[in-house]
Amino acid sequence: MQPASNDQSTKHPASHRLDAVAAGDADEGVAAHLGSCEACARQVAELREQAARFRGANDADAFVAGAQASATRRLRSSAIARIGFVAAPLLAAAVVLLLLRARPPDGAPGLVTPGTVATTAPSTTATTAESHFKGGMVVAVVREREGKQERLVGPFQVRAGDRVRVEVSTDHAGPLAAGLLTDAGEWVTLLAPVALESGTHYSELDARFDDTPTRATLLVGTPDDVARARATRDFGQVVAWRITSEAGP
Amino acid sequence: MPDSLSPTDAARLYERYGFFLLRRCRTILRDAAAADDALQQAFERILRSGGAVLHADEPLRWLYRLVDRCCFDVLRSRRRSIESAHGEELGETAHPGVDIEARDAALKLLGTMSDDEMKIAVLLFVDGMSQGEIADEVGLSRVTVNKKIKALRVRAGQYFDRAS
Repeated sequence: MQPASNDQSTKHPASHRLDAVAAGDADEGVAAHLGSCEACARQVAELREQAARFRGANDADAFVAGAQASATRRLRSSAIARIGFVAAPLLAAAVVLLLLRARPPDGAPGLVTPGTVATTAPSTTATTAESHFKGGMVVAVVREREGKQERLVGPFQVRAGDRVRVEVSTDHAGPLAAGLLTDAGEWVTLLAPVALESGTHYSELDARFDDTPTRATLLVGTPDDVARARATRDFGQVVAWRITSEAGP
Repeated sequence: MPDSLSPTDAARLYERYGFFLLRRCRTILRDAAAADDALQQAFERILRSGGAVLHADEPLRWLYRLVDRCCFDVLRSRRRSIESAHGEELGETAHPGVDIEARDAALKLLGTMSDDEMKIAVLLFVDGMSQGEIADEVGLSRVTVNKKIKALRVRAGQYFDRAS
């Protein structure tokens, strides 16, 4: 491979100057260069043509109105997030209390077998179910769609614009990992392998979906189990929820 | 408090430069939907505190720095670069002084880079700037920029060799 040659690039004005001229700005230096450089002249001409087509197909006032509306929604949702940040520890405390009270009289731990679903205290979002798995791990997915968050359990659907995070609660400290494995084998990390304290954790990363049909599986488990599941496609030792696309609104 | 920009002025900017800004977002993010979001977030910032663009000597350059930050935020949040099946750019023109293969390799690695590396990679591989221009733009010494560029080229070369 021949990397970008600095000597070569310095022969031409920087891209932002060529683009600005194509957009209609004045630049005497670029104008002089275009008179003697066929490659740059051709590029500017192509960009002018493409920009003209873009202007014909896009309404600037509508775009700015959309940006204004989005800014308003974002302000509201950040206010809700701040409330959730304060409420989450209180909610977790309430859940712990309920679980302790539900223990059998002999004091045996209230274990839940893998794959079973238990109803817990209502969350601030729509769904009230959680899935409990081996190792005392409780998993849910938070799907953000059009500014609204839903808490989901089990296989779920997505559409363009959705964002997904993983919520994991554990009753003991230990390493966990989570991510999306596409059918094509691509891995999208949501929760990098990390040792977590007991408690509720949200993946630091979220996955955002475009309009490409989605065929993937969410995997959550110990880093070793997840790595093995990715390599073998045997999902017996991890949380594995199928993700598919749904039609748009 | 930073100056806000009126919706009318923002619409004028979009009318004149919208194509170029969206094209840049798509080049960096390689994902049409994410690029749309990044551009919208850029205009949210412009409306809120972008009055300075009206006094900028080079408005498009000023706007490019803003959309670059929005795109880098997206990449940081994902910690990876997006190689979408629909990752083609808006328009197919690239700076005449930039090697396309090196540029594509660098863009695919963007999400794995530090802030400085991302800025330098975009200025070098997308804008076709010289090392001196990059040093002025990012506020680092030429020696530091040269070292970082060498490292970026090695990584881009390794990526290309693995992919081919």
